[in-house]
Amino acid sequence: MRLAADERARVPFALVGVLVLVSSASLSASLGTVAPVRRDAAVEDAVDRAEATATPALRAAVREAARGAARNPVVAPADTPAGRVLNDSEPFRDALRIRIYLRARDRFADATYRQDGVRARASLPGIDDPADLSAAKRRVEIERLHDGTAIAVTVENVSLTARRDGRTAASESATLSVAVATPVLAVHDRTERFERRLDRGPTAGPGLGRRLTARLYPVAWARGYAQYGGAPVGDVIANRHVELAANGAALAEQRAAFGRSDPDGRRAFARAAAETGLHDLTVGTVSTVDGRSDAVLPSPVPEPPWQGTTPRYVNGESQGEGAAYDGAERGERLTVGVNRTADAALVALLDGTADRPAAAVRRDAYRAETRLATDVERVRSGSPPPARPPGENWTLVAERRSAEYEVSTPGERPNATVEAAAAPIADPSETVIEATARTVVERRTVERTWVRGNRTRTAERTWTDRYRVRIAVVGAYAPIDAAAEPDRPIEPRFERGGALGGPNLADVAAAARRDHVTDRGGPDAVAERAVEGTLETESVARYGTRPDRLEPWVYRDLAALREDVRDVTVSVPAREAATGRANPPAALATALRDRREALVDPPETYDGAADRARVAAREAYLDSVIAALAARADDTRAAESGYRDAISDAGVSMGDLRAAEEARARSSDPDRRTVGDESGLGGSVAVVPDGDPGYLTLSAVSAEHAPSLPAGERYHGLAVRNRNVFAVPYGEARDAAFEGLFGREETVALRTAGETLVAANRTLDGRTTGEPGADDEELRRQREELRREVVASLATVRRETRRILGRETDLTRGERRAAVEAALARWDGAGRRATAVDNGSYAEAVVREAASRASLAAPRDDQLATRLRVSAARTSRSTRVRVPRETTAGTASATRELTRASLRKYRDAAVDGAVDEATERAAGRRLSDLPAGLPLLPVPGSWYATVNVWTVDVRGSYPQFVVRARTGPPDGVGGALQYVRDGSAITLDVDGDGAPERLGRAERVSFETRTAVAVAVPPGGGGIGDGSAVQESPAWPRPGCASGPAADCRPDRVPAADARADAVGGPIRGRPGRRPQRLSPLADEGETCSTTQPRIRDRCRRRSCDRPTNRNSPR
Amino acid sequence: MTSTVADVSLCLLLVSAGVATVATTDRSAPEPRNSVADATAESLATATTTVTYAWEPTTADGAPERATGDENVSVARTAHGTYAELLADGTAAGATIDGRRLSPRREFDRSVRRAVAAATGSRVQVAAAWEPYPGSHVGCRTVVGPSPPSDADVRTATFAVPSGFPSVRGETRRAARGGAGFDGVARAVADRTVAGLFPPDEARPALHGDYRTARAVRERYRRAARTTNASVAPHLAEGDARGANERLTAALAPAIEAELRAQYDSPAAAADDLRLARVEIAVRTWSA
Repeated sequence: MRLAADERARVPFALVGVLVLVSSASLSASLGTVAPVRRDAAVEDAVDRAEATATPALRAAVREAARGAARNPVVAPADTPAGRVLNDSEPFRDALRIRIYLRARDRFADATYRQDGVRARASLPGIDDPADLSAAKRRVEIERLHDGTAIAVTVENVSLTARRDGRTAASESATLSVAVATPVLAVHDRTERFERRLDRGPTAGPGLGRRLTARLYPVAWARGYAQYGGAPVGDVIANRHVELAANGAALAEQRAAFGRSDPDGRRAFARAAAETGLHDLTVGTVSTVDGRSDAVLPSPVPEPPWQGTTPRYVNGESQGEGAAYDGAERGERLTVGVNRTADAALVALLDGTADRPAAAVRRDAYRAETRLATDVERVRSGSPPPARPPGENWTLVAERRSAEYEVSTPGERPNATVEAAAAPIADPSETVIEATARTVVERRTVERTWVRGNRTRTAERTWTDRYRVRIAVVGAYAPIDAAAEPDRPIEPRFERGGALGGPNLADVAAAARRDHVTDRGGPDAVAERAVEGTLETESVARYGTRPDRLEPWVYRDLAALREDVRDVTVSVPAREAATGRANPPAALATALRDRREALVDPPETYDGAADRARVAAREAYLDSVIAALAARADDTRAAESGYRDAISDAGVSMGDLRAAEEARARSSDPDRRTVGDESGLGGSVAVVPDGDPGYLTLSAVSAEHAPSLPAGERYHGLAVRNRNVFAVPYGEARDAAFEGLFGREETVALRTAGETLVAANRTLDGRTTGEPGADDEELRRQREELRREVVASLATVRRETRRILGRETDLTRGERRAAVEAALARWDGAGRRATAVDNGSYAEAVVREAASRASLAAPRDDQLATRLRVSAARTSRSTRVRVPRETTAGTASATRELTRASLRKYRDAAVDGAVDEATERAAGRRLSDLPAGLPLLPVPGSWYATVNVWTVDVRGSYPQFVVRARTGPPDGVGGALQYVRDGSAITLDVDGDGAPERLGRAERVSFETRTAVAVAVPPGGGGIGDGSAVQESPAWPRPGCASGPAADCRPDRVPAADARADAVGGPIRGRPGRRPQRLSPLADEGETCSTTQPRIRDRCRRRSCDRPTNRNSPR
Repeated sequence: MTSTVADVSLCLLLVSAGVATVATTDRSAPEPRNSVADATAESLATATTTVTYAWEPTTADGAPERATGDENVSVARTAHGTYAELLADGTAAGATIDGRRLSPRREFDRSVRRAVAAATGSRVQVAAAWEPYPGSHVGCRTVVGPSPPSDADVRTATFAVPSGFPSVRGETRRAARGGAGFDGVARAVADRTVAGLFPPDEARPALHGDYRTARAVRERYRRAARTTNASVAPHLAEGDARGANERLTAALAPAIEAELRAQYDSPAAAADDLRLARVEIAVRTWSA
């Protein structure tokens, strides 16, 4: 069978073809099933690419968020659902994290990767409620890099989703990390550091308080000394100085915190420094708070004020803001002398109120002790016969002895040798006044009676002894209290001669001879008694006769010494006096003790007893001075402790003052520098603060000076309270200080009253102002009252003077009265007389008047003058002489008011240059004539310093404080990160519903600090002090918006949400106008601040927080 | 016999059909990627660099300010970021209106171009462009590197980085769907463009800031105003950035509206094509 023909069991080729076709179809189909695998690769690739795209998007988001967060820094979180998400301790960082989240979310939406129909993108979940917001915040971690000039951001849990045809093809989550060079944390952290430093007191560490102290100290000292020196300085520390010092200190603090200071602030400071300096030299009295802003703050001009010329600011950057005061830094010292204590001690010595009165000192110098010195020598000794009974059994019943003397002068020896022979029996220090020798023969007899039975027998036997007796009258010079005196030989002694040629104890020698020898029967009798053993040889003290000339002679010597002592001075640092640490009288006492030997100036050998009396008086006088100084030192201690108490009543402790003073020394001007370093991501960054205004004035500024302020609003950048503890008029503080010295008497010294009276008179006469019309009924009345008081005090002084004249002179009652009146008549008016009484010129005048009426022997006039001077000091403490404080203070205030008013008038006129400068200066001087400050001690002669203390409270607030970090790429608006603190509320649309939520507030940069300055000037003059006890700047105690805390002068912005509605929603929707804001779940509940920072909380409470001045940044 | 012939013929037919089936199966293998361009684009987008440049303040007439006194007016500044970011920064900052720059050309541009050129090599051209929509008279373009020869085989990779301008597309798109016209879209574009050129929150303190910053900002405003015939002087005098922006927006909107009308069929189409927030960066590579 042919195969071709055989068709049985044949598989048709077609069947094979079908098989092939089916196979190929299935292969094709199977090939088609590969496609999904290839699609997965595309999706994966897309996811990868999406992550790669998301990273730059995140970088951009961080940059934008940083700008937004800096522009709208949340310093105090709001008590809203959104605000509560922010941590109290670092709301700024939390707000930044939220902003980064929101910006990243937006940016991710724009960064979609598309390829082959696959859309891949990174995404973050939306925010609907606070829990979402909190979760969002937690996803973002930020870390400070390179000193805050860069930031490391990590966003966790970013979803990467790939979608194809609207279906999710793949999804994974990733953590994205970027490091971005943006100095957002640097500007915020440094601004916070700046605020902390501004708030720091002088004792708390480096900061505004310390710098303020450092700047105020030289001002206070320089002006205090100028005022003391008679310059027309009305207020030693005026608020304008505080303003200048606070601003200079704030600029230095800016450099410390940021590395740079506000250039506009520096210029304004230079102007203010120049203006203040000029002003203080010319008028120096009137506060110029008004119009200050115009003078210091130029209207904002786009060009630099000194474009084209080299700026030369006296106090510019190159020299530092402190340069203006460098010259004023002096180490003032107070020279304190013994002064009137020398008089007082002399009078005490004369009057016997000192330990040893002068008369006693003189008498004691003439004291001597004399005695009789004898020496008995048996030359030949007879032997007493033995008692031999006449026979057996005789009993001796009685024995009677007797002696007979026979005295003869030994003729064989000359007198000289007799005296030499007598010498050994005297002490070497004793002077032999008279010496002689005798030979005594003692013929002795013994009569014995013997008895035997009734028989009696008497036997008499005799024998002879021979004695040589030396007799001397010796004297020892024995002044009392000799131990304190230099032990020097005295020559001559017990004979006429020596200084003054007086008796010089010769009378003592004569008396001794008489007493010891003559009155005892002469030498023979004495010799006999010496042998006999019945001679009394006790020494006898005697005072020699003082010559009449001794007292004036010693006084003249003391007067000379007094002048030497008066000139002894010590120098104490004035700063120590200012802080109650100096006790000059104690130092003087020490100085006198050290110089005692030189002052006493004893001779090698006393020229007789008179010389010895003179030196003893010098000794006694120095003791008296030292004792008086010790008493003065006790008074000083009491006064210093009173001073401390007084200022502590004013809220300042001495410790504070000292700490402030020491802090001053530690304050130095920081250098200019940049933040970060070149190795950081963003390199080193210049961070420049920009206050608006850069110089905070006491007067209000408006938009003209601080453009950030809303038009029509006025703002006080600075509020200052400057309290002068011991101001004119004398206040309570002074009474407290001297309670220990004068009791609780509210009185002032006669000097104070007198000077006040003089100043009042001058003002009323019109001599102050150059116009006689300066009449003031109130002042006239006050003056009259004070005059009466002063006249009454002067009457007491008159009485006292007459009493002294009566004691010291031979003037009759009428003459005394006439002398006193003539002396007083040398001064015109009660005020000047009071001053003359105090400064001692009255005493001199009385002496002169008394001398012209009666002859006063040379030392008596000096004595009189001394007594009068001392009497002035003594009576000054008496309440009958002291003048009621109330009266004095009333007159002082009235004078000051009137003078100020006329000065103000003159200053206004001076603008036209119409006023004679001399008149003006004279007027200013009148103010400084009024006594001020706390005298230590307020007793004539003990006054070593006048101290005063100022406490200065400064509160400030920058209406707007911008910190610019110049870094990064250029942009249209200056290429800098701007950190703006202007008090606005910060809102941010966190949930994307178009209605922004309030996060918190960009609190203004505000500060408050306090310091105290103490100044001490030498005594005399008008002292030192301000006219007004308290100077408060217009805004005290609350710097800020002039129209009140409710308005708060916040920048008047259109709320951004509305702006957006206008710009986009309105026109596009075709219905212009604002759409009503929906309240989202995060909507505001009215702001009440929830912060732990008390200062901010207070500020919040003061503000009505629901004012719709929101600002937000576009999301 | 004929049946065999027919059978074989049928078989062959079926086999060829099978071959065709397999052959025509879509393997859809991706095209080979132009790896150099893509790699360059990727490194430009991700690698960071630091650019140092001198910020030189200018006087009112645009000339460099001369130093006065001891102050050095030229300030060295540092910018850090990815190459793409820096390019975008330079591009957005150098925005032009009708081809006129708003800010004088700064050293920053040169520094960035130098940095990018050093990073890419000789046969690469990088072009960064920012424009609110294609063909806008507002925008800017930065080109780094030589143009490719006309006969070269050029590969291109493009990507976008944020421009720093506010995004407007989503809202305008919603608004356009909601019935807003070309005028609304144009106004929104103008508003966001101006807000990007002069961020009001930043411009306001800058106008009140130190005089150099203030002068630079003022000058930029003035140039923009001159080009658009807007009057901003009174607002600038008061430091009112928002008011000045409104004037500029009002002046810019009509021109934008005209361009949009000419290019797009509907407001919605225009809204879809807005790209304000992006700087497009194109990397072109070629072989010799």
